[in-house]
Amino acid sequence: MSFDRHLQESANRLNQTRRQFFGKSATGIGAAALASLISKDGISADTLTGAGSSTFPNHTAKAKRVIYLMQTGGPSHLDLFDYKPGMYKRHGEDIPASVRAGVRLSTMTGNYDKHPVLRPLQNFRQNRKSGTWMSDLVPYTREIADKVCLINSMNTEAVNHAPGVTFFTTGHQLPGRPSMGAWMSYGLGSASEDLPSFVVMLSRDRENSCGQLFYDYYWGSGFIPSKYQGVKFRGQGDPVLFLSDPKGLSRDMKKGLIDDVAALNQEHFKDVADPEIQTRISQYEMAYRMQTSVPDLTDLSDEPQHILDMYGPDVHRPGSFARNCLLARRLAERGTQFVQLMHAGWDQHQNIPTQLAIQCKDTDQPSAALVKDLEQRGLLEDTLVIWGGEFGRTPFGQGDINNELKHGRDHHGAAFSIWMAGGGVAPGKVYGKTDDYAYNIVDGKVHVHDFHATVMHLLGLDHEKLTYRFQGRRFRLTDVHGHVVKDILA
Amino acid sequence: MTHDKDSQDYQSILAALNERELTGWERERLWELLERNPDLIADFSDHCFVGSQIRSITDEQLVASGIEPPLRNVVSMPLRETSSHLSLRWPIAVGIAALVAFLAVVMMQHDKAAPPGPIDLAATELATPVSETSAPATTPVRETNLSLDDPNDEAVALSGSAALANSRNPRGGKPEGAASVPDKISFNHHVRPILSENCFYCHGPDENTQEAGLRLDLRESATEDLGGYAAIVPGDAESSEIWHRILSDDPTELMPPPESHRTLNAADREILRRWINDGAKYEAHWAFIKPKRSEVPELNDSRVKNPIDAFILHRLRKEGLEPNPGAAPHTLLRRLSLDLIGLPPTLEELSAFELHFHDNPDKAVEEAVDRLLDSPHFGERMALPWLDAARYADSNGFQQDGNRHQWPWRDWVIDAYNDNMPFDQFTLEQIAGDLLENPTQSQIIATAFNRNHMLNGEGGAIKEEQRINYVVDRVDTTATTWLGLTMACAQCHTHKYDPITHQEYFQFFAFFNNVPETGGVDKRSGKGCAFGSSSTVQLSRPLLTLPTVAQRNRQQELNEKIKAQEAIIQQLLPEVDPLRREWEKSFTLAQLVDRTRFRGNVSVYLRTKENERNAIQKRDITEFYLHKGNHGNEHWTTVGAEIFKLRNDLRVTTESIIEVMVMGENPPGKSRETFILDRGDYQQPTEQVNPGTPSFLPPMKDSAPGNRLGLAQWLINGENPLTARVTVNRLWAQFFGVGIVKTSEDFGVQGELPVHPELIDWLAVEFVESGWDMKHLIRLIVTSSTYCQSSTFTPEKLERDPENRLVGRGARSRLPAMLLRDQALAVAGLLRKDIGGLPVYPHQPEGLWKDFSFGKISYPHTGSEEQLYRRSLYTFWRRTSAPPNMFDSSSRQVCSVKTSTTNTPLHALTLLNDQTYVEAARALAQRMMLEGGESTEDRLEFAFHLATGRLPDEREHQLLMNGFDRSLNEFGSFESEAAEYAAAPNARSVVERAALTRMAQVILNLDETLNRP
Repeated sequence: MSFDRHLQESANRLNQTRRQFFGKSATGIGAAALASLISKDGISADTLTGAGSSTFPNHTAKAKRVIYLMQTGGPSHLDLFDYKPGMYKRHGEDIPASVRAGVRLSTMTGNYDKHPVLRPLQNFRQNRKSGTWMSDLVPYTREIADKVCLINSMNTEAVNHAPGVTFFTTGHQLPGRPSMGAWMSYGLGSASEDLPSFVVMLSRDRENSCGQLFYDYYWGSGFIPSKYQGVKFRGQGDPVLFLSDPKGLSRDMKKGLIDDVAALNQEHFKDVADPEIQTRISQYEMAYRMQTSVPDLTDLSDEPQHILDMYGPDVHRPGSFARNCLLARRLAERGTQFVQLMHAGWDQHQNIPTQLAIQCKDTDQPSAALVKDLEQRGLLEDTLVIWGGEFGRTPFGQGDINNELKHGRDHHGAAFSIWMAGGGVAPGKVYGKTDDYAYNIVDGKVHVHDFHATVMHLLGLDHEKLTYRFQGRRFRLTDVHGHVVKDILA
Repeated sequence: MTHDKDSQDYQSILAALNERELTGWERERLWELLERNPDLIADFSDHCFVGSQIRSITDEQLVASGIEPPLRNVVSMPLRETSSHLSLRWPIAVGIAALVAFLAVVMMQHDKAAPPGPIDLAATELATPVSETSAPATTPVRETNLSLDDPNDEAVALSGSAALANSRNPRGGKPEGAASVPDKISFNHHVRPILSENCFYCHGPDENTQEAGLRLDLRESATEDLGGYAAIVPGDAESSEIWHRILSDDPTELMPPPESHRTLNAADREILRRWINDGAKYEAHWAFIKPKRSEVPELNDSRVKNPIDAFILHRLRKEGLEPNPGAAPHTLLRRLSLDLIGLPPTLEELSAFELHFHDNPDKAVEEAVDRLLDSPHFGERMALPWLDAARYADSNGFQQDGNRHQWPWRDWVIDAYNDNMPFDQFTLEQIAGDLLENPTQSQIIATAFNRNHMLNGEGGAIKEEQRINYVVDRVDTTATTWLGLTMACAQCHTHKYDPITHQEYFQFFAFFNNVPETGGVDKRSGKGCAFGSSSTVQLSRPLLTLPTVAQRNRQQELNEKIKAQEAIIQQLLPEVDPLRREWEKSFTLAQLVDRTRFRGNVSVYLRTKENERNAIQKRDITEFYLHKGNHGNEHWTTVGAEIFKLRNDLRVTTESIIEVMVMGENPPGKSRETFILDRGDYQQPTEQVNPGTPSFLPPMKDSAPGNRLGLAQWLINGENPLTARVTVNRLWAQFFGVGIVKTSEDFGVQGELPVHPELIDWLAVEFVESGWDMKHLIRLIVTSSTYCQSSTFTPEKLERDPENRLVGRGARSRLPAMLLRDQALAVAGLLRKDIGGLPVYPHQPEGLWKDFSFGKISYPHTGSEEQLYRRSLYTFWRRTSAPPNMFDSSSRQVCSVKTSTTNTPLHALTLLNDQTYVEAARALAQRMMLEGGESTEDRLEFAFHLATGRLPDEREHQLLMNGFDRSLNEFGSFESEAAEYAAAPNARSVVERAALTRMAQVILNLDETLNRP
């Protein structure tokens, strides 16, 4: 066969394949296998796709997707979730040194002489079905507590925000490692035809009070290929950067433009035969499709009023946490596997009595609505929802604990709370115990590495096996640590 | 149990393969299974070719289709996606080769015809000394290949496994192609990679994990008598404990243990068995021995222009391959221009070169190279990878992400390349410029290299912890950039693979641990930006102040005026003071506490008793009182206002002076002591250490000072086996897409072995002996026939050398995003070519900085051409929000010596819709109308020529014209849209302009435009 002819044939073949997936036509097994083989590194996870079912070999996955509601700043565990009735009476008492021994504090309170108990801000009540205690600050979450697995025994070494968040999102305190979502895309591929498999959305606290910055390495790919990194959807402007066509260029014209580029590229392919040219043609066409699929995702006009109401009034404000929760559900429905919402504003050193309630108002109702909404659509059983920050806050007060306007709590990583729902975790369970001050863990410690191992397990991934070679060694999300917390599995 | 698991995994991957594309993990796993289990290879190829439509395709079609079998191509690629530009292409190509090889296996089982398979890149022997030559094999062993079904059919066996081997990524030091059992076993090539990958983690240099006290990286300990038996008995595999352990059925005895998830395949085992039987000879790691000038192969061939060609051609010939023919002159000039100055050639340069080339190709190339090396833009192009290695940025990173002024260092780098500063000097000044005798200002600026790391100004950050992080960063960056060592691995424990002890890590650390720095931010200036702070600029000492003459004069002038004004105030004091005291008494405590009533720290000073106030406090109160007090005296108010203004002007002037963070050294007697930090934890210092270099490398000269200066001298003293090799390798990668050693960042035992060992050593020696002459080395490379080949792909080479490691063709690769932008601006005629200076703020979408900083930092959208159209290199690099159109760039957070080249829909969106690229298209349309001739045909041809360096052929011409006609038609019915798109509301022939703009977008987005040819 002549070289020219085989080039022509191969180009035809690729065109055909491309048409197939572009037209979303049914593909037979053979064709799918072929597409799978033909797909190049560049397209792979983001574009060429097929059935969303995971066949990762470790074990059957309970969760097919994750929605991580990351609460940066450090939500106060003992004001919200870890009920310590004894602390109300002990308000102002010094927390004994024996309790505090060995816990590293930030430089803000590290040299305090006194560590007076600051009582929980509000009352706690129980969920009627599961009996889970939660504060009046989070009534909506308490209402769904029977669907939630609450872990009161989280543990981290980090004392500052950036390292703490980096630890949770990437498994290491310093930047440079792949994030959890990147690991998942790498391990499981993509289930969406025209949306990224890993999406990140950011919201700041309503009062813009004391939010933390969001670094792109919180959803980065570190040392694994950059196609696995999270794609940030913005609340303002284009949801994805550079999504809008230049003004005056219609969709049809844009299609014509891309067709022209493709035709000329095919010509050049005949001369240089670089397979990468075919990849580029596909990527341009994929870009064109994303220009429709993304706006379709963010257009909420097809959501009935009662659903919008569930998420609360903030749902109408682009960039709000409530809006992002609803978008997370829409992404989950469309096959995106890892949605990471970043919310900031929990860092209350000096203003916890006023600010904590505001943060809860921002997040409580929409978080609970998301869980309920997923459930009523049958998605909760294979969607893992995670709610939590990078650490908790100190049981002792920072500042003047008797002046409502001048006190708060410092960072506290020795013990704190997060919750998870759906995706194979035990509903209505409370796991782990802390001491009377919610200062140290007494039972069931869940370190950040254990948390990661468990999440990976739910996804059908063995955290010890999902590795990537870098700098001469096999790296993994949990580094060389981490155990699956079997007790919280459903 | 392991076996069941394998089979389960294999089945589920096959199932997945029928459904969809494999994930990165699955590819790796499948690869591992196939590699370990020869039976599966046959099964898999059956599955591939019988179970799908693929069966009907010929191998040639597969090659050209870019078929990628589900191999582990993504998985083991080191450092962000991969090496350099070829990265994306190679896995595809590699996959093709492997599939073709599968086909070959299948076919050969029928007709036994053995076509040439993929090349075993490890075939070349390395000239490395053998450290132990005793104990020859005592038992002759029949050399069979245990690895495959039919031991007699060696052709089939080797072809299959070599194909697989060839498609693996460089990992574990295993050269590509080493998984088959070679005739002659080399420790460096075949044995160490197996030991290193599978054994050293527990039986390597790290004394804490030498399980059972066994160490296999040294012959002495590996062969030690352990009480009647030894791990390795040279010459006798059967009596060697490791051999028994490898074969053991008992999971508690089996090595590597099942829980390590490491396994030896049959070929690995056979290599080890034969190596032990041959006497278990160890060799020193190639990169740790000083390079010698290799003998240049003598070839009588006109294509040999210099020794590079001789080495390359010699090797290609050995494989029965021929290099590609020379590239067309327009291709060559485009390649040279983009490689050497990062800009496309102009039409004039192209036509002059093509003419000249026609007469005398060699001379034309030499002169073009000379012109480009002399261009001031050469330094800009060369600086790009160095800035990545040096993690250069214009902000500190972390929460407050204050600005910094490191750009004078960036300009120093550009100048150094332009001046062809020898690389040894380049090294010396950046590592220890401050310690040279009477250092010049420029030499001190050079040391900013080691202060380019991130800086954390966060409130609760523990300074000492941060400071340690910075020192660690310097160690990692220096070790990676100059030595190609992954020294970071020894921060918490002794290196698992390379002979670097935990103690040696901290001795190296000590060189960088004596900087008079606090670990915090200790100088803030500017107002109203950085998050969590009121200061825009946040710096950490030591600082080098770089006032301009004008700034210095202005400071002096203001100081004099202030003095004069102070004298006036002094005279007023007797009158002022009593009234001021009354004024002070008029405030309630609540008022005094309210800082907004006063300015600066006056509120605080006022709460200090008068007799306890210092001079500054008194001064500030008085001046404020004069300016704003209730005295009703107009003269006083004027005097107060005047001095307030003067002081403010002085502050503004002083803050506008650029200060660069540079290196410094604590004075003798105040040196900071260095301790080994247990597990790398700053809170756990143990034993004290002094500065020193790792003992496996040649020592520092006795006369050398025990500080950074001595370290710098040690790097460049000519005895160091790594510096020159690592440097020429990076340079090679810059021109050929991938290094001679693919793992540019790792020359240790887990790094890849060089594909051209003689060539890398020859280049290293040539480099040092030329006086570390960068331009000499570059000239040598780019004037070689090897470099000047065409980059056309052929099926044969794709099959036999998919990644082009043998350089049988030119390297075609997508331009880095920074250069894509520069090129678009240059082609459009928009580019501002000024060199150096303050960072600039070109277009980026509204709100990006505000988004991430909660509105605290806004992007200065200025709109001036000086800001919009400078080269990408000068774009302000904010670490927390990098320029959004510079995709695939290094993050500039930590050292990076490899570039990543991916191909995603997001990149297409950027190149189609980003304002900069749209403006470039409009400007190119304008250029077409002004300079491109009268006819549309000429205009389209003109733009195509500018962007690709060549004229369109007939078919392309037709496509361009059709595209234009169609857009003319479309815009014809939408004139206002046309005006909007062309951004030319009042222009005549707006529809034509819009159609040309659309065609300019087409041309700027062509694959050929985006690629270095």
